[in-house]
Amino acid sequence: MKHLSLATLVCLIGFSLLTSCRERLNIDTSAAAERLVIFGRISADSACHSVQITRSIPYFSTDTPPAVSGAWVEISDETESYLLREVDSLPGIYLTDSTVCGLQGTTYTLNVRLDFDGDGVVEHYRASSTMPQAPKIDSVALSPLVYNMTPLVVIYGAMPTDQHNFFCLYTGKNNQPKSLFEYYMLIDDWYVDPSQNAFILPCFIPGGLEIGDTINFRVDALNAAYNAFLSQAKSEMGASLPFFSAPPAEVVSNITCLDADIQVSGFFAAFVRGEDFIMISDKNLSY
Amino acid sequence: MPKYKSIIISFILVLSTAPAGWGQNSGFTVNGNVSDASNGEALSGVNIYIINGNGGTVTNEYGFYSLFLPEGMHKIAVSYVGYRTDTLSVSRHNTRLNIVLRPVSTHLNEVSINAEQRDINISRSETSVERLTAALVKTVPAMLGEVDVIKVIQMLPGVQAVAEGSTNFSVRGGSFDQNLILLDEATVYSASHLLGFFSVFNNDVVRDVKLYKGDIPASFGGRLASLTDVRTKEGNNQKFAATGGIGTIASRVLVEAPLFSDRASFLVAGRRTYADLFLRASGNEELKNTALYFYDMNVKVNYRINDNNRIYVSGYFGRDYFAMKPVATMGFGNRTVTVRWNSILSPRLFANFSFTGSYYDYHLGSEMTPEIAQSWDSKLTDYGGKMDFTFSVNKTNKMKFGYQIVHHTINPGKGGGTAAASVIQTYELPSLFALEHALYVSNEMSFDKLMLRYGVRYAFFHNIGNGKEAVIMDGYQITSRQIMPAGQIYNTHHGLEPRMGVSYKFNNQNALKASYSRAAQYIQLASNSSAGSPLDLWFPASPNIKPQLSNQFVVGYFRNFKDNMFETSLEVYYKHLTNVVDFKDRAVIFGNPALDTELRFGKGYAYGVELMVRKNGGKLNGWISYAFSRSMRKIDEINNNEWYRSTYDRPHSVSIAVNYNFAERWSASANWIYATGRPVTYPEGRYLIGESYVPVPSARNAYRFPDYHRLDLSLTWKLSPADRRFQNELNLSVYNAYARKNPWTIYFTQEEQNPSRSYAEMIYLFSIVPAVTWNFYF
Repeated sequence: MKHLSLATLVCLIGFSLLTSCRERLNIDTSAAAERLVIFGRISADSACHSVQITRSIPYFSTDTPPAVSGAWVEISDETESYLLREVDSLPGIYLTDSTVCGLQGTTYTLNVRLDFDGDGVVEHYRASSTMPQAPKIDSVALSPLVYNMTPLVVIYGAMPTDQHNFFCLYTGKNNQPKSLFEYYMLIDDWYVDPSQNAFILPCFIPGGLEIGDTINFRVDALNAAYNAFLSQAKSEMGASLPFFSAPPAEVVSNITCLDADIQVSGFFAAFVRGEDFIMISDKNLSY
Repeated sequence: MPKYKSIIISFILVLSTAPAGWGQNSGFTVNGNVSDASNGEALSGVNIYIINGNGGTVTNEYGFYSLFLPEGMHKIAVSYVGYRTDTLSVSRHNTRLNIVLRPVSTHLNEVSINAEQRDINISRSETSVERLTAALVKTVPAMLGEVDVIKVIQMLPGVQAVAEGSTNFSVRGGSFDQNLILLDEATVYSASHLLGFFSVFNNDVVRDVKLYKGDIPASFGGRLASLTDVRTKEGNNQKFAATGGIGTIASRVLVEAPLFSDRASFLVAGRRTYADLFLRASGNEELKNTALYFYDMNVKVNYRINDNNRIYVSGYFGRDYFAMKPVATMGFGNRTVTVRWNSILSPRLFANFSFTGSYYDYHLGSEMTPEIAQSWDSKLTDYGGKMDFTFSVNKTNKMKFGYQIVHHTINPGKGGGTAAASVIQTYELPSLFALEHALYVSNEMSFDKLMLRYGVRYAFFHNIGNGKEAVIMDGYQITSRQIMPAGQIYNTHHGLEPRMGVSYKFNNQNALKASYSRAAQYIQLASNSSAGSPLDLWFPASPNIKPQLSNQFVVGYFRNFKDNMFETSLEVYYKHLTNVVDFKDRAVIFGNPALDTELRFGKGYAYGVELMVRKNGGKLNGWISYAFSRSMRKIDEINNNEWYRSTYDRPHSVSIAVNYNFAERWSASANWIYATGRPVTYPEGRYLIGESYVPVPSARNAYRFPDYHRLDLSLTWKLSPADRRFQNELNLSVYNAYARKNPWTIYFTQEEQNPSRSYAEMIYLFSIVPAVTWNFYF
């Protein structure tokens, strides 16, 4: 687990050496049975937190996954519950009020009621997730050290010492938005010593940097299950190499159907979205 | 253990001091060693038989024989393919008779496909065994001109490469860690160079290789699927000699010479790839800091103490190194050492005492800055000993027995920051210790047409405490954690492994054989890949992990035609596997201190039919093989607990290897390989998370890669006339001659501009790969 990134680094370099011969193939696969997909998140920000409900599609289908409308969706903690409303213009997207704000250390439960299999009986789907404690990051700065056109970033701050910490790092350039799975790396405190108050990391920016470019940097705090979900999903989306890959497998969901034998995909996560840090490149590191 | 020792020692004393006629009908014994006149190499598998009479024997792997003869004068013949048959007269007395055979020709490219005696496939009692010599291996076209015994093994029926270019192989549907690979009796844990594209065996050093595909003799154990027994040359004790070659990516040299007249000899061989030497000359800083090479070295010395005793010391040292400094470095390598003492304790009792050591390690490192400079090291060390005895009881019975012991030390990993300023923690996984030992005895009974072979191996496997905490599990749940007392045995597995076979020879051209063997495997590979990687880790059976077991049944019919010119065989097998180990989905293997929690157990079976037609001599020689084979698994929590195809299930495979000597100094070779595509899991659906699509996988291994096929060609031109001492030749080879794009992997992705559109893409490693190699010998 610890030093995984070192093995990953070596494997990635090996991969780059072995991937020079590529060719598209025409492969057709059977269509998997349609399944219900629920993906929801609540963070520690005051915002409209969303739950997306769709159906899966055959792998090579170019259709948009059908949205599931008309569901009853609720997020609750031990004291309060928040009902989510479907957005008229975005079928299948359910939102809380913009004033809802998650609390670190609190366990949240997602309840969804809908008739997925069309038998006229509404099923009940449920998932729980605990919002982790977030690291206290005082500042982030570019190190004067650069290796091979890659800037090194020093993070000053402290991480919680009473939990196993999981972080998702997003890096980017010139405020270009990053989607959920465009994270730079997932990292945990097996790798970095939590008693330290400064951490240094290489900050790879595809395409490099020019003087004056803005470097965007964000650290989200995750719980173990959400960390695993992000890792598994990204792994399934990527290439599989005989030397370094296990067979593809289902991404583990924390959502279950309580009253019927219906398989659900997706995830419900409580997490802490990190502060957006900005640094300005003072070196020409373009390539 | 002291009990076993005293029993064995008493038994040996009784046998070695027994009167020469004890256990025999009236008659006498002739015994000795058979060697090659040109270089003094011991010859194994030499046929020694009574002319105009019944009875005979073959030399063992050390060149020793013991032949019982009835009272009277006899003429015996000593024959071996590629050597002049010798005829000798023997008197009525017990006689030591060391025999020296002269090769028919010592020409560099002299090849006989069957390197043993005539009709060996009929007269041998074993099923499912193949023998290869260095000369045969040399005739098979090779990738980048680097001839490789493992690549030839992969062309035998029932054997499959696990991935394009890999030296790891599957035998009869078994995983690649179920193959025991021995180099001069020492275990080789990772037989690969350059991520598997080359094996660790330098063909110049190899004397011969025996592959047992399941009917493994009782004197060997610890793996379920196969035994690859690689024996190296001893070193020329007649004259100084050198062999070498300069190839497209590597060069090699071997020197051998006698020491102290002909009492001793030595051999030193080495090879190295040199692509990195060109990179260093580059003006580009990044290329200068890039390295990718391997080297290896074989050393062997033998000393004949007297007529009855001989000592051998051999070693192998090899390493791969890969670096893009200072971002990442990776190194891995094997070391083996063997000290062997052959002793003829009595005319009928031959002993081989051996001490072996095996070592494998890998290293990962990064030196970008002092703050994040780090390393990770893992290693495995074995020390073992074996006492192996062959006792020629009488004309009918030949007994083998002995004792083997191996101590395993596995250091799964240790790493962390390598500089004082490092922010990375240091971390060490607890070492694992185990002791594996076994007693074995087997007997081969030879009647006129019937041969019976039966034996048993009783193996013990002890886990030894490391003073650290280990998990105790019930099923797949951790129930407690316990400190395992340092240096003490805290768990033992043991079991009986019967091995038996019967062979009925209708005549010298026809034989029907059957065998049953049971094998247990106590250590296995933690690999999260289908092809294996240098970072894989061996781990032992434990209180939570039962030993894997295999029961294999084989029936075979063997038929030779045209005075042994053509050999054919048909073998049918069924193999049942229990306690099969696999990993749960997305198991964390690397750096995991509780690997037991990632394992899942189940069962499996494999069955198949293997056909072989081989032409042994003439201008055109070679073989054609076909195998139909299936291999299935049922593992807890995998594939919804349903049966699924194992990764090694490839129903149809064909190999054709042809060598044509079309002129005195010219020969051409070709091989063509076909195999059903390997099973694979493809996506069947996908769903939306945020803005990205996540695939829904099919059932495990529900699909297959496209079928694999490939043609390789080579042309050899002998540059020297046959009567010159200095011989040299030029070899041109083309790997994958018709540029078949065999997938190394297939993956699925979505178009960047239009994520709703998915497609499959393959990575293939090789198109046409031509190579030139210059070889010499003097």
